[in-house]
Amino acid sequence: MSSEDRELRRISVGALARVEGEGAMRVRVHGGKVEEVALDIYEPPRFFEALLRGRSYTEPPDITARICGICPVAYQTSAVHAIEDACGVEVDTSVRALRRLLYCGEWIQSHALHIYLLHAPDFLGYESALELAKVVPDAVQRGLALKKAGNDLMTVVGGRAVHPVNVRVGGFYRAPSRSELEALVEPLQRALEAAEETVRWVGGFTFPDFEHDHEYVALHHERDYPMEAGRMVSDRGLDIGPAEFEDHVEESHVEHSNALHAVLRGRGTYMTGPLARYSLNFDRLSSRAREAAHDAGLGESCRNPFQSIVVRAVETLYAVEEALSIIGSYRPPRPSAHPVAPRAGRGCGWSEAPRGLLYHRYTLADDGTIEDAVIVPPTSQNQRAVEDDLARFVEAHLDLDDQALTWQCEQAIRNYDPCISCATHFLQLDVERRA
Amino acid sequence: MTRVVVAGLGNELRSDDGVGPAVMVRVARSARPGVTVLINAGEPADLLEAWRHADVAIVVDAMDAGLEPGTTRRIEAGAAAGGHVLADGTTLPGSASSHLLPLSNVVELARTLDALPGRLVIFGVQGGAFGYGEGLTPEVERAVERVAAEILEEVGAAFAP
Repeated sequence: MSSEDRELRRISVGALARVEGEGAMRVRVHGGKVEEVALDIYEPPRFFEALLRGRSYTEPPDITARICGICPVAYQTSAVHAIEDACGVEVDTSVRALRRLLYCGEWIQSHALHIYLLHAPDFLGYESALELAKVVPDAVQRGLALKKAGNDLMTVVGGRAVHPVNVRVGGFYRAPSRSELEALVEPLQRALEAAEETVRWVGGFTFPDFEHDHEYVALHHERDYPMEAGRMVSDRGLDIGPAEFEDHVEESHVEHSNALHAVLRGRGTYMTGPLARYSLNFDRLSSRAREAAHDAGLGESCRNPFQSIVVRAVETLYAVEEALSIIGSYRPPRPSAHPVAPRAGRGCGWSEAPRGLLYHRYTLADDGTIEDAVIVPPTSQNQRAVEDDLARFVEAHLDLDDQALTWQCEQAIRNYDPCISCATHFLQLDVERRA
Repeated sequence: MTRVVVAGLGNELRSDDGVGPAVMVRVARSARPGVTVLINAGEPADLLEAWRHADVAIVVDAMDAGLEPGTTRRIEAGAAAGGHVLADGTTLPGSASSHLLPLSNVVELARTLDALPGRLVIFGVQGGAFGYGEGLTPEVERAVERVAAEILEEVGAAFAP
């Protein structure tokens, strides 16, 4: 490399692949120091919050599900929680169990998609799942079978696998029968083995030596691993209910992104998603999931974002077990939905999307018309953490050539399974190096 | 019994990109038992899953091959025909994401995983406009009936004794 090259090096990736949505990244290095890292989210905003205004309080589960084809259940769940909160309705345990079962389906399919088709190629040195499939077809088959188990669960409980239609404020339009769910037991038992094999497989990958220090934020429930319920806690003492979210989380616009950046007021960057969930809720996992995690080299908490793929695999295993457990004790909710009468007020709700905490808040008029809506998706909450990881990762790995650095930067972004479409309301990689 | 899966890919909110779904609406009207009609298939892995149990699969997708709008191309890409979309067996470069995997790459992935139906017929329809908005341009609208008729003929042949 000539001295001129050392002064200014530019790495460029047209658009980030294997992420959901459109974005780019710029890194500027000056004299061995990273001066700027920017995750550019150029996918245009879709103004969902504005189009919810004036709609009926019964509509958010179906409208907001359209924000994402990968995690519609998260949108539906957070939406119904917020509306039920506004209307002063609490659903019973049978509705809650069915919501959790549907959510298990989403975690299984979303995590299987990310682990096998989007993230594993990074660790094994392939450009795509297609190349990966040529080398390890059995692994890709396993991933697709696992994903299908999640899709089938969503189809039976939610009416269809993408943008389920069976979720309503108060519960479900129709509760599946016991026999419909029992038909899922055998495929889920096969999925349980596939999920265990997945944890072993990804546990054997090589992970860059890297740790971060973000404040971990996730839901925490008295009994269950958090999915659809719990309080928002952090590893530094935060412990709040949904109504307090906006007192603690501050969103701001930055010039380079069509997604809002979120920080914890007076505390700064935080991180939500599988690593935070796992580290704050390890003792809520099943013994089988904890053992699999241990055998795959994880401790009770995890601070290496590159190991998020292992945590996702552990969560997938947990979700399959949990689905089997819910089906085992299933009693259809009767009626399938609680009556929910509209009233004027403000309601807040959240749940743990596969990518992290998803918050909704609605203000209703007395006839149930939505006057105001706020949606805070996990990817916008994690943007600052992603940029911080990139800055520190690049600074520690300036010895890598541009190609290797680009590869690992993209991998570092995919650690977060970013859903750019959800966040816009994201990756061209551009590294500029100056001596 | 023969199992046929017919799929129309595309976004009906992006003008002529909606030609696949439009053809499926016509085909669904005349569908017979044993035929599964898919208007989009979620994301690419789901299309693969749908093919896994099919003897014959048919796909309609809009294309931009620089031809006259409404021009159709018919490609045999099943296992029996070698399992390639592009004649030289390459796949299309481009960004793959959770929402987007070029059809040639889906076929290649299916071939690699031994999940390619014996027969796979792909109809490509050259679009004239791919901007925001519903509705097809007149040339592509006319192609819809033509392609639907061809597909129904293929389906009929699949069930012929």
